[in-house]
Amino acid sequence: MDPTEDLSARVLLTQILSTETPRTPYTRSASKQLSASATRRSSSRLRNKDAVPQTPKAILKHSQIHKLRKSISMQSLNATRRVARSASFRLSNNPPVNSMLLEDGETPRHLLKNILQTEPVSTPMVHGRAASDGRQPSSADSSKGRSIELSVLDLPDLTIGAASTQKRLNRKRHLSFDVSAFEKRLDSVPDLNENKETEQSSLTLSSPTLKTPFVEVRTERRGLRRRALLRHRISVAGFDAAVDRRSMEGETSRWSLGKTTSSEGFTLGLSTLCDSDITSDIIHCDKALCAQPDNATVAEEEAGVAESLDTVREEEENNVEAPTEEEGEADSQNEENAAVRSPSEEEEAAAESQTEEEQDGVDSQIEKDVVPDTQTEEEEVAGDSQTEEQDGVDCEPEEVAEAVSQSEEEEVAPDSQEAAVDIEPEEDAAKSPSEEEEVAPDSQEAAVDIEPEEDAAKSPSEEEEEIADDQSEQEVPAEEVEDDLADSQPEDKHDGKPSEEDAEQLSEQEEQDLEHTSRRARRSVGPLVVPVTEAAGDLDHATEEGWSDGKSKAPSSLHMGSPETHASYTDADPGAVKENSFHLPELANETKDRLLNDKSPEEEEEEEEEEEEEEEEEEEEEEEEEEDSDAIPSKTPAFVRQKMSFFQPKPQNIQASRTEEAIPVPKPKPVRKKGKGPAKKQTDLPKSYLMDVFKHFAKTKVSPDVYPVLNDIMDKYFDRLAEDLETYALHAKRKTIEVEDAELLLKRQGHVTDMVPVEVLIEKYLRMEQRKLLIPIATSGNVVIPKKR
Amino acid sequence: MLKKAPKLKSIIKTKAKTNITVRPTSEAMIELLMLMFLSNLAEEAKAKAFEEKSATIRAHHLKAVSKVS
Repeated sequence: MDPTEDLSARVLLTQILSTETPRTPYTRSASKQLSASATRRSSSRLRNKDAVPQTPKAILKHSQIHKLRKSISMQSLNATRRVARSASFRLSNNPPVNSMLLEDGETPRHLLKNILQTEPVSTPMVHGRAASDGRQPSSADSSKGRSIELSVLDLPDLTIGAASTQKRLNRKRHLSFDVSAFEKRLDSVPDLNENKETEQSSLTLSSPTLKTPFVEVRTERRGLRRRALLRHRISVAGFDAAVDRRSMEGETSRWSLGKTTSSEGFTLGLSTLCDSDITSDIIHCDKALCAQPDNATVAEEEAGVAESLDTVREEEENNVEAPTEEEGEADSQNEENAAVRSPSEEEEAAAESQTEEEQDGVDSQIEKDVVPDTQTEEEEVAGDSQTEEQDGVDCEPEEVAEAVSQSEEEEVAPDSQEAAVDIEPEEDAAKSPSEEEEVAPDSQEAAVDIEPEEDAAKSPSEEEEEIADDQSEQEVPAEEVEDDLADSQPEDKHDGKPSEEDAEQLSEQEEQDLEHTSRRARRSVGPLVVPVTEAAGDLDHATEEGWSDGKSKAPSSLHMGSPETHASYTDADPGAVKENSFHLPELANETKDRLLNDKSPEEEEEEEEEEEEEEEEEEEEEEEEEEDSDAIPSKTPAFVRQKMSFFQPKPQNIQASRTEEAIPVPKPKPVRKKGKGPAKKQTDLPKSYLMDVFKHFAKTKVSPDVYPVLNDIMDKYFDRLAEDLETYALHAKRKTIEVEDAELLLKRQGHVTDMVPVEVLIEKYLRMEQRKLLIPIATSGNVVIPKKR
Repeated sequence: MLKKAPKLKSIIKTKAKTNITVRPTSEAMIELLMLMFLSNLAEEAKAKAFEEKSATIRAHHLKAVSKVS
């Protein structure tokens, strides 16, 4: 196959020349059609024959004939086949022909000329002929040259057709087929160049191989071009779309960010705002408070009330400290509508709780008015405007009293308000003790608030008797409440005065006491400076619990204690509240001693009363308060003791109370129930747990004295948390706090954002069992636990 | 984070004004809220303590940081 494939004209010619045998050429006209086969046969015969004749003439004739035949054959047949066949034949036969040719003197040039002249020139044929015509090496060469030239020229064109030609080239009969095929093509297809190229490629086997890649490359390029173009277009369009998207997304993202960032814990944010307004208002004008509550919202009102209470007291007590305290209180109160308050804040809470209960709107306002009034009154007690306030308070006392009474049971802190009230009742001294209502009209002003609370505690049995006592007690608790305030915040004289007055009242039994207290109140307000602080301290104890129970007992004891109270109070106040408890027993002793003395100074009596009351109250409170919070440790013992002493030796004198006080008897639970007390009953987390968690998060050393502060903080936090969750649930008209409520809160606080989903937080912080609750886990059987809503 | 936060449910119910119920799932969420709050608080307190160049968190640090007391 190789020789046939490598049918380059030159190769063929050389072969022919080498193998040429002299033959006689045929005449062209004679053997055109027969030339193909005939020439071969004849050539073979001729060869044989020729071979036989060995005369020079015969040889020449044979050679000429052969040449002719060949020429004819060349003319008639297509290039490739003929060339192939002829080549094969010629290879075998040509040598003599070639030699003959040469010998004959018929140069290829001559032959070629003849061919060209006689036969029509068909370019493809030319190639084929040239290739097949071994005898005409020149022609072949020329044809080759042409072909080569053509091929060369046609290189660029060939690329297109290279592929097609290659296939053909692969065949053995490449050339012949190609020739015929090409001829047909030529006739049919206008693109001669391609055919030529293909033929050329076929002829020159090497060339197609060279060309084909070119063609492929070209096509590839086109493909690439196309693809590139396509890509280009897409990218441009996509780019625009992407740009648009980005612009859109950018805006939305900004918005979303804004939402998340802006949505802070609203509960926390309100306070600061509210505080400034309220505190400023309070500072500026007390009387203006009446008007303000109307404007303020309910929540603010409550806070304002509490704040006002605190602030007012502070003002009264410490002009200097008032502003700071007010602000502090205002802030705290604002934040906490139902916040649990520390002992210092209990009073505030009491006020708030009272107001909260009345929140219906009118009441709250009224309370606020009352409270500010009462507080202002306290201030004015020293002054002359008490009456004015009282009047104002009187209008509302009943309402307030009722509300107060309701809260009394729960609240110890309301006593703080009572402090303000105490001032008034002292003046009035006509409060009806037993019932809240009774107290209200009697105490009129803020005193009513206090009294009802106290009265509620008392109510069980001693109400009637305690009418006077109540008043006194009210005063005392009020004083005590004030004392509490004083303790928490540096108290001023004002608190002490009312407290003393209260103490006095408590100590007094019944009407006498009332009168007494009223007198004392007035007197105490003025002169009593030192005892104020003391009384304040004592009041704290007393006001804590439902010392109304003990109030009845208190009067007698108070009487005794009053002379002693001075000293005791002075000692007690500066010290911790706990110290008071110690002092109280001392006081009790002292009071006992002085019971009979009935000292001239009403103050003393007041003090004693206060003491005893406090003691009893403390005793009573012990049980109650201890349960409530650690923050009021000092108050509890004294207060409960006082209560106890009050309870047991109801009509007793100081002695009885003294004994009780001296002996810290476990007081039976006071009647006043500690349900959701003021500030929602301080609920504490276990110390170990809380400190553990805090230390874990702090990652540095934590001193253990942070626990009370931490407790306080957690208390307030839970207050707000519960409130928020409740609000969310109620807003969704549900009565159950759901997971989505908590999620919403997390979002508002900014813990959950677009970047941080809830599940991440869950997995980070919670334990496994909780995770299982919250995040559905798929188990076998197409079951998901828990069911995802 | 080792033990269950005790009495959370009762605390919340105590503090809630209206009579509201709490689901066990939301109990877990409440615990999560609490933990997040505590972690933030601890972090702030730690920063405050560092301000005073003390490696121990003390009560006054906490008080200064908290907005309530």
